[in-house]
Order: sequence, then C-alpha cells, then structure tokens
Amino acid sequence: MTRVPWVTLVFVTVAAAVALLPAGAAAFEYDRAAVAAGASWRPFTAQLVHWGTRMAATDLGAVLVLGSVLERRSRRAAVLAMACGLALAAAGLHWLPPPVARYRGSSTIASALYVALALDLGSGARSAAVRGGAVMAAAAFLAKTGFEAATGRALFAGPMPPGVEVLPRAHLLGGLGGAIGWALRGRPPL
Amino acid sequence: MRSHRIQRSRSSSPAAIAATAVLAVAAVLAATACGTTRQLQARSSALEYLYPRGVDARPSADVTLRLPVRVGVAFAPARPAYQDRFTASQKQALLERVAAAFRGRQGIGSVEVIPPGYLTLPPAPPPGRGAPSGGEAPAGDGFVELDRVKAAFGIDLVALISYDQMQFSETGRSSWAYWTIVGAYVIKGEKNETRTLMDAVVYDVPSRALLFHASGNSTIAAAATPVDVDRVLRQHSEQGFETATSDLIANLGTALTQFQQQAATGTVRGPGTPAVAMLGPDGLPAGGAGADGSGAAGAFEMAGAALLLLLALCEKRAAARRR
Repeated sequence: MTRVPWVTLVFVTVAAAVALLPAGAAAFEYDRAAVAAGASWRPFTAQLVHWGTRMAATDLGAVLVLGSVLERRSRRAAVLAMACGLALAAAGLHWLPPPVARYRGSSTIASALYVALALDLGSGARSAAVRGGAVMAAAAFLAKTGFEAATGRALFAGPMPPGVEVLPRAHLLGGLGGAIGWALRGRPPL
Repeated sequence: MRSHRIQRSRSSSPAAIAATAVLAVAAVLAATACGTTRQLQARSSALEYLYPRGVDARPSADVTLRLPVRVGVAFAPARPAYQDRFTASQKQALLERVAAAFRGRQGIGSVEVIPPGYLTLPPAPPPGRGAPSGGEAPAGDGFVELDRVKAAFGIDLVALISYDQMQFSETGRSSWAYWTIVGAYVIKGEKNETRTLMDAVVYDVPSRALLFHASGNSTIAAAATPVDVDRVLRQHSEQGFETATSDLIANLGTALTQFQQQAATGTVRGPGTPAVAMLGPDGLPAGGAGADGSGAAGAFEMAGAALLLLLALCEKRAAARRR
C-alpha cells in the first residue's frame, strides 16, 4: 500500500512536459488527415495533449488522483485500465461516427481509472459503506455517460475553445476500457 | 516634391545682375539637391484580375474541400510597365519559396507553382461600356482563366499573390548643405526608401469563395551616392521582395491556422459567409460542426475522484484498525 505510483506519475509528467513544448499539442493531437497520411500514433498520443491550461489541469488532476489511488492498490489493474481505455478510445475516435477532424484530451484515461477504481473498491472493500459508495460512484458514471451518449451533450465539462466539442463517446469508451482492464488484472486487489 | 521660387530683382546695375546670377545659380543648385525626386513603382493586383472594372462580380457559393487539398500559387498578372524591376525569374523563385513553406502542412496535399505568364490580365472594356447585360456570362474576369489553370494543374485552391513596390529617391536637406558648401563629390548620400507590400488571397476556385488572406511588407531605407542610385535601388528592390515574402509566409501560416479553426465551425469567415464542408480522403466529413473534439474531465470527474479517494482512505483506515 505504500508503493509509489510511478506509471501515473510518468503519464502526468509526460503530458505536462508536452504541454510546455511550443508545438507539442499540434504534433501529438489526433488529426484525421495526418492519420490518413500515415501518422498512426496520433489517436494514442492525443490522450496526452489538451486544448488549454484549464483543461489540462482538470484532466491531469483527475488522472493523478485516480491513478495514484488505484496504482497503490494494484499497479497491474491501473496499467491495464489505462491501456485498455487508451486502445478503445483511440479506435473509437478514428472509426466510430461521427468523425472528428482533431481531438485532444486525457479524460479518457481519467474515465478508465475512475471505473476501474470504483470496481476495485466496490468488489474488494470489506466495509459495506465503502462498497456501497463505490457502486454508487460507478452507477453515477454510467448514468452520466449514458445521458451524454444519448443526447450528444456533455455534462459538467466546462467551457471549451471555439469550435471544440466534448465527445461523449470518449468517456464511455474510456470507462469501458477501464472495466475491461480491471477485469483482466488476473488477481484480486491487494 | 518641394517647390522653389526665385524672386526677380528689380535692379539692373552690374552688381545687382551679378547678385542675381549668383542667386540663380544657388537656386538651381538648391533645386537640384533638395528637390530631386524619383518614384519607381511595380504592382500587380488580384482584385483587378479577379474583379475587373466593368464585369459583374459573381457571388461565391458554398465550399466543399476534399482533404488534403491541392493548392496552386501564382502571382496576379501585372500590367506591363517599363519601371517594373520585378523579373519573371525573381517571381518564380519567390513562388517556390512560398510553395516550399506550405508543402506538408496539415490538410495540404500538394502545392504547385503556376509560372508567371500563365495568368494574363483580361482586356480592359472599351471606354463607355459597362458591365455585360444580366444573364450574360462575365467572360472577362480572372476566374474563367483560373478554371482552366485548375484543370491544367489539378488544383483545388489558388493562392494569388499581389505586389506593390514603391521606390522613392530624394536628395535630403543635409546633402544640399554638402552640395552648396563642399561640392558634389563629398556628398555623403541620399535618402532612398523602398517600400514593398505583398498580399496573398486564397480562393476556392470552383466556388469563387475567398477563404483567407494575408499580407507581408518591407521598408528599406539606406544611403547611396548619386552615381550608385540605380544599382542600390535595384538591390533594394530585390531585397524588398525577399523580406516582404518572408513576412508574407509567416502571416500566411497564421492565416491558414485561423482558417482551419474557423472552418471547423462550418463557415468560411464567420456568419454570413459561405458554408464550408471538409471531407477526408475517405469521403467522410472531416470538418463542419463538431470537427474538433475533446475529452474533458469536469466537475463530475473531480467530485467522483474525490469520493473514490475518500472511500479508499476509509477502506485503508478500516483495514489498519482491523490489524
């Protein structure tokens, strides 16, 4: 329980470093035309970059808190949740309609970690109150993303730059990836 | 241009005649030194080319761009002028510079240089004749020629570059002082200024829609002796075009980025301008409303993260108590 959450720290540090590079966001963002031209890494690296400082602080803050807690409980669960969330979101970003020209944001990873941690606490906690709270948190996430997917409107996302819209499917796929990653962890939480 | 008046002397004595002669010589020297003014101008205008006087301008239509787009870069044709120091080879070299700066940019497939001479100004309408009557095709505008260039070069967009360079040579007051006191050979120099403005407009050829524009400029002022004026002006002309082109390339890059952001909202330049739809190589929309996406954590995720952190701490504390 006292382990340092290296994976989470590395992810957040790299994302913050990319944000400081002058052309970092443009080089790593998802760009449909660039992907078609061969830049196949962009659906994945898009999860590292953001449209602005406020968005970066919120996304990376959520990743830092959720990732640190989950990684201290189970590094394997955290890594698998992040990997599955990243892969599903990247595929959904490129293949699922409606298509987007560009994409940035780490909330997919935050969603994956959120769901994985909620499942971990809900299934592994000895306290009934903790288990109940975790189930409620997971249910709230499901309700929120379900509403967003059904209506196409993002809830509580805050202001976006002109021309940029929040993609509900990113959160939904991230959460699904988190659940799959947690299920694949292979051993009970510590 | 400065003017100088010589007042006639009413006296006719030899002394007065000598004084008048000295004054006249001094005045001529002063006029030569102070008021030598020369202007050289070279210009071409995309406006004159695309929307010539006497031809009805056709309204632009909505734009459909298939990414990556193919762009042609050309100078708007200039009316022949003996003063024009801007040679075809210079134009070709600057077009290559502009093209090279935008090859490989996001959303741009290829950039073709349209050689100078491929575009020609439409003949001016005869005096006294206005626009063609309604319904008659306005064959005189540059878009008709751009349609042919589009087919020949296989381009979607064209970037038309206009230029206007003014070279102004004036002998300044300080050189006048040198002229009158020391003589012509010790003149320190003249004030020569070369001002260059370059402007690029980027059009979608099929829809005749102006997508974006940018300009670059340069001002060069330096001294030169009278015998060197022509050579220096020629050098400054070249240097002016080079510097203005660099400025233009930088501003075009900014304008392109702004256009891409604007186009993502569905219009070319905001409300009231033509709609723009961008299609990817797969034919699917790559632009329009919602073209730029984001996964943004917000208040919900932060509150959820805080709740899960609290639950994890409770669980940890409960486990510690049990031990």
